[in-house]
Amino acid sequence: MKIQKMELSWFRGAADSAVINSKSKSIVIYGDNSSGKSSFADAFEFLITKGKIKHLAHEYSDRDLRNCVRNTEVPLSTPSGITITFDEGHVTASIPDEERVSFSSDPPTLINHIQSWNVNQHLLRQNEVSDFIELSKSRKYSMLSPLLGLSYYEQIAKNIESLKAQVESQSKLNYLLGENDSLQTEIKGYFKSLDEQDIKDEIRRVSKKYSIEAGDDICEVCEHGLKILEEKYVDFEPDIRRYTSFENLKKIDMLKNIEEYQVIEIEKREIEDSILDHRINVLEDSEKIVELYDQDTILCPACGREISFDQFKEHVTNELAQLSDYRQRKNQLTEIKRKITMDLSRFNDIIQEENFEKWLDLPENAVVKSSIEKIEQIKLPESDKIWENQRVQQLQGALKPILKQMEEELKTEPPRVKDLIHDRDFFQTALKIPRYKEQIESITKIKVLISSLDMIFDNIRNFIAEVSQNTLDNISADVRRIWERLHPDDPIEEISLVPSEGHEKAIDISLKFFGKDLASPRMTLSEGYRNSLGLSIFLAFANQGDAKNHPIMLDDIVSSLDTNHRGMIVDLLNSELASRQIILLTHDDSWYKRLLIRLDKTKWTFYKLLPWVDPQTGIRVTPTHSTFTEARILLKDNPRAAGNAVRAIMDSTLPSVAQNVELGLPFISGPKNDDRTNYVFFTNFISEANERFQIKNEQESWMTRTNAIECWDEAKKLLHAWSNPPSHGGIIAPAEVNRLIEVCESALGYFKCPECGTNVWRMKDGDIYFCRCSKIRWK
Amino acid sequence: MGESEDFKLETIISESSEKLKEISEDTVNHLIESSKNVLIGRLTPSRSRKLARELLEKLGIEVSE
Repeated sequence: MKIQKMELSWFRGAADSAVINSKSKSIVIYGDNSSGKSSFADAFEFLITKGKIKHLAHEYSDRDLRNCVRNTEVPLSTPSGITITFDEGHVTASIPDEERVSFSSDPPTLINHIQSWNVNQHLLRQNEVSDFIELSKSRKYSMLSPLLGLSYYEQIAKNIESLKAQVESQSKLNYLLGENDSLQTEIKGYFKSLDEQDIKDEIRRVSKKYSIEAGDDICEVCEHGLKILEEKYVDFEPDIRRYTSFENLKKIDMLKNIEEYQVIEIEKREIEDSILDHRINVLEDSEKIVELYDQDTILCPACGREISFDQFKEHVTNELAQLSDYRQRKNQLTEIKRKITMDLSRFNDIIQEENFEKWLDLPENAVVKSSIEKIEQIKLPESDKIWENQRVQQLQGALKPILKQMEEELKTEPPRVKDLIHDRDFFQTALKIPRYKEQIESITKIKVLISSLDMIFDNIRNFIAEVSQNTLDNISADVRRIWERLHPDDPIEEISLVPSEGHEKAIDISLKFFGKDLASPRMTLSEGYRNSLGLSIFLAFANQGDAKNHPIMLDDIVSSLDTNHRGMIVDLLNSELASRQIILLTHDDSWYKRLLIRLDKTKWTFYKLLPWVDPQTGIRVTPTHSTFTEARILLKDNPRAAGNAVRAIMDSTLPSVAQNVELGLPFISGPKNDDRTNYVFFTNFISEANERFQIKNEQESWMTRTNAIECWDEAKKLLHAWSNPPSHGGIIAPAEVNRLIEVCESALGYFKCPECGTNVWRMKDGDIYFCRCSKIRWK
Repeated sequence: MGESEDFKLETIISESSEKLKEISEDTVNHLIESSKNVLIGRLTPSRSRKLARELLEKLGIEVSE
């Protein structure tokens, strides 16, 4: 799948029309900074991502993005537009001022296909080259997940996880477990064993005391027992009945709960800071969003920037984990406060019983009475509100004399009352046994369901791990192959993308640096290496699945690379990526000239963007078929500019040619090494060509290509004269410049084969370079 | 995007639910039935809640509103 044409209209830097016509070839678009190159990258991204441009998302939300992608001078009621024509048809985005952005295509299915592409496999920008290396392990996984083809399986795993959480919550499993635990403790207080027969025997033993005939229905027996005990209680004198109230009060154990509250409150305060409560509220709300949200990206509640949803979720989870101790104390406090509130209510109920009235009026109980009055006045706030310590201490202080007096009173408790209370509690507890057993049965079933869901989840994750390992192996092999082309002799080896140990959804980069395992490439590698590695990883991604047949766009990706490695990238474009359609954007003049020389013109188209002037003029695209053609155009009106253009062509071309045929040039220290004149290059070409540059004659014998040497010699002299200002300081004759153009064009032409048209360095056999048909060679 | 030759959700569910099958074959069958539709799309919280209740009811667990 290849791009034939890209057309922008009032989109980003473009005015009415900016067109790149590639005819399915690869494209180089050269232009100074701000000439509008990246508008083409933005258009490509906008179409693929259904209207999102990552580098603009920091400042603009989806709605506002429309304001920054439309040229500021777009005529009223005119939509901005993007049309990309592929071999298979064209896709269009129309961005009106007020209405929603619309996407269409012919054929209609094409737009869905293009928008199913992953932008991370199709577009790499200068400032994003090393992004992948710098991502956290889990974000590496998130970014790779769609590339690994795992989204479908990840979704199912996520569904199972969510279903498990719903089973736990809908079944109220935690509540059931807690209640069952309390019931078990209570039952064990009266029954040594939970065996059915043992329970029946124990009930029979207690029932016998009250002459109850114990049948098989234990509930019936217990209810009968309770009825008899109630009758006995009614028969007690008021003073005796009061002992039962004391026993009931004793069971409340409010002091113990208050002491527990005080311990947890101190622990909580130790880990608390002033913003914790606020942070927890925000995070708990965020947690709810995480549970309910079903989009891939989300606007960060803090900065408004669009971030990946997985990134947001990771952030919320990490924050909550950091606060887990505090949260635990907070939840414990709420629970204990709830208990104290209930204790207090129960306490007030019991103390109101008529058994107490006369007893409280006794002079020796004056302190107890006043304490009770204090307690009655204490109003505790709800359990999720903050309680003042002073109020809790008042409650504690008032309780102590009451409980002390109660302990004293219970010392004189008649045994018959004690037995009655014990047996009443025994029957009440026995009545709870059927519920306890039902609960156990339910809990077992729920746990089996949850454990099945766990196993399903684990099996899906195992499958995902297996598939991702295979895909990671393929990507890693591609990364290593590309890296070795870019850095054949560098001490960085065995680069791999590997699942991070101990984490399900995390990916790490491993490599050997001077033979040693490197734990963190992003910390150790230089910027240049990071960018090379980032480029290798991107190209490996771009080689996965169907994406390997799609175009890729590289926006100014060589900025941090040195001359040598830029050369390696050209090699890569001519080899590894020869069958791909590449759209290469660059502002680098020397890199552009090198591309002009070294890339195969049958496969590449070159465009130059003129400097951007204003929004009305917009992006100005000029094709760069041949710079000699440009020089001829200039010849009529400005022969001096034409001559200078030729000189510039030769200055930029000859160093690359020299490098391609490994012309031996003495090294000059400092920048002068890169500033050699074409005179120096021609001198060396001429001196070495006698021995090294040959053409086959009709008898298939190798002959020195003497006409090339003669042409280069003339070019050298003409260029030398042109460089010498006094020689052309006066009137410059167009004929003189015309001769310069023709001789220089021919001089470069001699590096091409007269038969197959390819450069003499097209192929290499041992130390000898050949054109494709081996008609010419450079030894 | 759909199941590959190596991935059959129905099989994974069936093989992972041997114990559950002993308690309630109905519950396992309901889970398998869900693997053909609900479980392979984006499961919203309300659908997830509904499915959880259905499974619990099949198990004979009372779920209060």
